[in-house]
Amino acid sequence: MRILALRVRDVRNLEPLELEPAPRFNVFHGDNGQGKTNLLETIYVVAALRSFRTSKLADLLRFDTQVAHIGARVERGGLERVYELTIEPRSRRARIDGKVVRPLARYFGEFNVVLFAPEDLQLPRGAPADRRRFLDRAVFNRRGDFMPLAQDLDRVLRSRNALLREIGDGRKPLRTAGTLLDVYDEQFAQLAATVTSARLAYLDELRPRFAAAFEAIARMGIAVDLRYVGPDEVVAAGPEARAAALQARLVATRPQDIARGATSVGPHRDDVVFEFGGRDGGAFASQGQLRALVLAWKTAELDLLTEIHGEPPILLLDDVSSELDPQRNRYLFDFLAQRRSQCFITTTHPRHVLVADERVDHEVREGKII
Amino acid sequence: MSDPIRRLVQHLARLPGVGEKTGTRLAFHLVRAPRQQTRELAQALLDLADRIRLCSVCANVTEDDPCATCTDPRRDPEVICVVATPADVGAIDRGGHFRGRYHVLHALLSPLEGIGPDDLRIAELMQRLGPGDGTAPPVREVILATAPSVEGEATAMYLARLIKPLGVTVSRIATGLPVGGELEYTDQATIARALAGRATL
Repeated sequence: MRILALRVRDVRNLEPLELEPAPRFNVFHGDNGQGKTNLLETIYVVAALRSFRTSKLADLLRFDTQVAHIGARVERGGLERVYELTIEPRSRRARIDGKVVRPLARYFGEFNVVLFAPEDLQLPRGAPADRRRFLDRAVFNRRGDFMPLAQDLDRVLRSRNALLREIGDGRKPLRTAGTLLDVYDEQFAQLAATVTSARLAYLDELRPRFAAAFEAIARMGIAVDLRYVGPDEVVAAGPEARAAALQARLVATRPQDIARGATSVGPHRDDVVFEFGGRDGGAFASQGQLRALVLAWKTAELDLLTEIHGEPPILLLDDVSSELDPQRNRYLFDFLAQRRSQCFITTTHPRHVLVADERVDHEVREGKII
Repeated sequence: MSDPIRRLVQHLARLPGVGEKTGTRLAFHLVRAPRQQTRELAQALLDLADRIRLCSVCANVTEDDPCATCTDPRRDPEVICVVATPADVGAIDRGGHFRGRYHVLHALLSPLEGIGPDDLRIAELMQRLGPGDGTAPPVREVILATAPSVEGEATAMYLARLIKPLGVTVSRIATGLPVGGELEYTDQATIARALAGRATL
C-alpha cells in the first residue's frame, strides 16, 4: 500500500501542500517547530479520522480558518482510492472516491497507517492509559470494526457512570434504579468482553513476533513477553464466558462503584505489561532495553499487519532516531530496508536516517515542504 | 428586518435541522408566497397545536383518543410493537407486514442526557400488559423495535427485564444486512451482527 499523492489545505501551520511521495523512503528534515510532525499528523488523520496528538480534530484547523482539507490518493493491491477528510470547527466529513461515507465505520480497514513516535519509547515505564491507547491503536489497525466497538463501549461506560452518580448522590434510589443498573452492567459486560477479547487475540498474534524481534535487536537470550493485566477470572475466561465473568465482577464491585461514581473494572482499567526476563520491564529494564522492547513491538506490528492484509502498511516515523542508540537505529533501518512499507520519516538531521537507496529528502521550514 | 419577520425567523431557527440562515430563507419565502398559502400553513400549525394529542393507550400522536390503530378491530390486540417515536410507527406500518398494535416510548434511555425510565411511556405500557378489566384479551407478545444503537439496546434490555416476569413473550427485531444490499459494501460491525444472528436453514 502506498500514498501516490497527498493534498493538504489549512492544517495547523502547514502551507497549502501537494506532494507526490516516493514509493519507499520520504525523509523530512528541519528544525523543531517547523511542521514536520504536523505533516505526519495529516497522514495519520486522513487514515484513522483521529489524531494521536489531540482528541479534537478541530485543533488541526489552521489559525483563523474554518475549514481544513486533507486528501490522499492511495494505491492498494493495484487499486487506487481517494480518501478525503474535511474538518470544520464542529464537524468532520469523510469521503472515499468523492462519496460521503456513512456510517463512518465503513471508512476504516483498507488504509492502514502505523505510527512510531519518540514518546512511545517510554511506554513500558509510562502510564497505563498510554499503553492502553497504544494497544488499541494497534488492534484498530488489525481490525477495522474495533473503533466503533470501542466507541460504543465508551458510551455505555459513561452512561453507567452517570447512573452510578445519580444513585450515589441520592437522586435515584437504588431500589428502583437497580434494574436499570442491571441493564448497564449487562450491556457494559458484553461490549467490554468483546473489546477485551479483541485485545487478547491481538496480543496472542503479536507475541511470537515480538519475542523474535526483541532477540534480533538485543541478542541477549532474555525471554520477553506481553502480558495482559485485568481481573484474573476475566482474562482467564474464554471469549464465550468472558461477559459473564465481567458481569459477576461488576455485581461484586457495585457498592464500591456507587460510592466512587465510577466503574472499577473493564478494559478502561486494564493494562499491558512488557515482561523482561519474567519481570515488569517498566521497573527492571534499562533505558536501552526499554527502547528495544518498544522497537520490537513496532516491528512485530508492521510484520503482522503485512501478513494479515497482504500489503505492508504505511509507516510514520516521527523523529525516533534521535532517541535510539546507533546500534538500534541501525537495526530499525535494516529492518525497514528489508520490508516494502512506504515510510514517512521526520528527523532533525538527515544523517540519522540510515537508508541510502530509494530515498527522497525534503526540508520543512515554516510550514513549507521544500 | 421588521419585527414579525424577525420573530418568525427566531421560531423557525428553533426547529431541528434549521439554523438562522435557513430560517431567514424560509421566512422571506413565506413573505413572497400567496397569502392563502401562508394562512393555510398557519392553520395547519394551529390544528397541530390544538387537535393533536397523545393516545391514552399507545401514546402515538392522534386526533381521536384512543387512536385509530388502537381501536381497529382487524389489528391483533395480543401483539404490541414497542418503538421510540411516532415516526417509527409510520416506518413499520408502511410495509403493512405488522398487523398488531403499537406503543410509543417517546425517548430512549440515556443517563448521559439525564433521560431515565420515568421519561419514557413505560408505565402506560405496563398497564396494557397488566391483568386489565377482563374486557381486552391479554397481550401475548411484545416486540421491541428500538434502534440497534447503544441507547436503543439499553432500552430494549430494560423493558425485557420488566416484561418477562409477567409471562409475556418478549422479542427483539433482528439486525443485520439490508435486503437488496451488497455484502461487499457493508461495514464490519453490521456483518458481525448479521453473523451472530444467523439462522439455520
